[in-house]
Amino acid sequence: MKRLHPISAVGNVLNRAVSVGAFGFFAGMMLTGPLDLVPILAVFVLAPVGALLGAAYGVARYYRFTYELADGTLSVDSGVFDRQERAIPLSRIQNVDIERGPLQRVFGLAVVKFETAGGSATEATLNAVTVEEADELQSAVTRYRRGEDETESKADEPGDEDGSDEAVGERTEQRQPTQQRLYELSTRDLLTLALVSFRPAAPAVVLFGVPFAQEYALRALSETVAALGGPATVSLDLLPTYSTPELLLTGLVAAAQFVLAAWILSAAFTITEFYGFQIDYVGDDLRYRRGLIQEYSGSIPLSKIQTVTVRENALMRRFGYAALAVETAGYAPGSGSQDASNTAIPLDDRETVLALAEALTDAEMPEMQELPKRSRRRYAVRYSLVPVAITAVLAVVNAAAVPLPDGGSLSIPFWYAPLALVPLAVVAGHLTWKHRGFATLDRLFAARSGVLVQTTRLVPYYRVQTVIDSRSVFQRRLSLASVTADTASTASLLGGDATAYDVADETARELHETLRSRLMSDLRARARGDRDHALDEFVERSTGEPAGSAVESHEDEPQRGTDANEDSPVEE
Amino acid sequence: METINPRVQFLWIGRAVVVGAVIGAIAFAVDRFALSIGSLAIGAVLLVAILLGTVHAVLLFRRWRFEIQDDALYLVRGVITQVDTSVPYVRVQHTDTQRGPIERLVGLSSVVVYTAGTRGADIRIPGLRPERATELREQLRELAAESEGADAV
Repeated sequence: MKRLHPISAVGNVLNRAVSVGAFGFFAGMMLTGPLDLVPILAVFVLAPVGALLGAAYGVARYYRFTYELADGTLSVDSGVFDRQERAIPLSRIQNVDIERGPLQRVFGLAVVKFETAGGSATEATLNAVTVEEADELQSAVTRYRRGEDETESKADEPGDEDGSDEAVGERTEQRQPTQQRLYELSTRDLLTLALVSFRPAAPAVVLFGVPFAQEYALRALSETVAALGGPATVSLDLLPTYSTPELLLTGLVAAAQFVLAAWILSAAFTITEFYGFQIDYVGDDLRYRRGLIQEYSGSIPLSKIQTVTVRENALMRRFGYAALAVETAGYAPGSGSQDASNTAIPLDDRETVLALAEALTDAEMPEMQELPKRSRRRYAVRYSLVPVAITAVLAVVNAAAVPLPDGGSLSIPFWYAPLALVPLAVVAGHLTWKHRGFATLDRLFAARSGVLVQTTRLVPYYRVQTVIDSRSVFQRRLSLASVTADTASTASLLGGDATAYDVADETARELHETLRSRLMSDLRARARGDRDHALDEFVERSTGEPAGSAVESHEDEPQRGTDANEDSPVEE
Repeated sequence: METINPRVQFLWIGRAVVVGAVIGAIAFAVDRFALSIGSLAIGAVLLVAILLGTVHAVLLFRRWRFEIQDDALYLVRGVITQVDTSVPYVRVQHTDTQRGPIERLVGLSSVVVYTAGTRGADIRIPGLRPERATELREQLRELAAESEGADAV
């Protein structure tokens, strides 16, 4: 059994020493100060003792953590007090992700995470091993899976336990499966992506960062406001002295600066996350790699892809761009940003995205079937209810004339104002209706929804798990129903089902039947070979090279180093 | 299509009573510490909650149906939102029978079917007699094992 790299142990030990030591320090302070149980000297004893204990625990954990990849299983033994021995069959591993933060890159290390379909968290994390070891582990899983699939597709021969090499030996296999570049994100597209993406973290950082940079923020605000003809200086104390137009100006400028700062920060986050994004087609996996400061790479097994999702937000649609994500079973790996590690194409023109979507699902992008008109009515009514409800509440409160403490009664002028939003609600209802649709194709079911972010989900029939129809009271009145093709993909956690919303009742029953029967027939008839051909065609089409040959990287592509021998330090 | 055992209504009404009691307690607390509602209002709230719960339980029982079809388990249920679910046998990972303490009191049991899906991860058939539950579990298990398809995911 192998151990993790010693340097990572040092990091962990220091970490624990500091945290337990700090705990000891604070405990000591509590005991001597408010509680006054022991003399002040206790602090000088408890803190170092705590640090030592933490360090000892860290060292113990390091020695107790061992792993091994053998006999078709990944075994991980860990834990000091709470011993855990985990055995994961290699055939059950969905994704293998490799992360390298700046510290890891300096030392030539990598964190490897293994995902399976069960459970919602990473099954095994190796923090940290050398880059070579990480790559070897990833390749081993790919090779094993290929070998397993080889033996399965042959006539019922039991696979060899101790080596996929024998089973694979029948085909002319080289040690490394062929690697073909499927997609690279160009610098231009990276910048475009940065401008059109919205990272929720950015406004939060700006908001919470303002107190720290308050002086600079105020200065920037003041200068802009003064330049536009407003008051010479802006400060919180002077606010009450401003006239209304001055307040308005200040408010607008502040809002504009906030939005600008958040946008720039969001763009910066996007650039650091997707810098150098590339996807290779290796054996039966998609291997992605991206990241400027923190490097992410991983493998997505083609055979485990549940759904393929095309995402276009309103801005992207305007300029003809789209993004592509593939979803597998199991916990969505990678950093906090949703789907970042399941992204096949972060941004490119719609044709390219659709071409890859078609290649991955072996089907053509469909024309969506419209929802019946009465669904549109339903959405318009649903959205209008909100302003109407608010108006009703305000009307009631106004009429109730609740007496106020200083005499007089509470009256709300313009209580009917929210009604002005109703036309907006009707338009929103129409847009929602227009952007929803579904299609049943030769090999897959497609469902589309979303106005601000239009999402098209493609589910091959043989990936359908359960089929769920739902009819609410209102839907029943209008003879409508929603049909969901449930899959094992994780994006469903984020409300990402492939659902045909508000379709006519008869259509819904037909769809339900189709999904069920196609699932069974496609499972039976599934021939793996087709998928490879579709991807090969895509590679040929996008690179002009016949599939199977190595692809030259473009000149303006960021250079990637695979090890830590980088001379120039990474720029912040 | 098969229906579930009528005794399950007692189970659901019991749950409604509990929920009603909680709501009544909240109303009581509001009365004590915030706005004064009056004990009549509290009683009314309690009564309405229990009444609604009972009506819901009865309607839910009337709607609940399931059927073992050729290739899938088919379920129909729901009062406010009616949900029809098809669980193909080839997608069934494993099946459980479960009996909570209240269920045991009423002499009933549930069968839970697990799939690899996310929305349909576990599908529950409540209100079965224990023998029927065991029988159904075994039946589903066999159907799942027999069904074609290499990979349940």
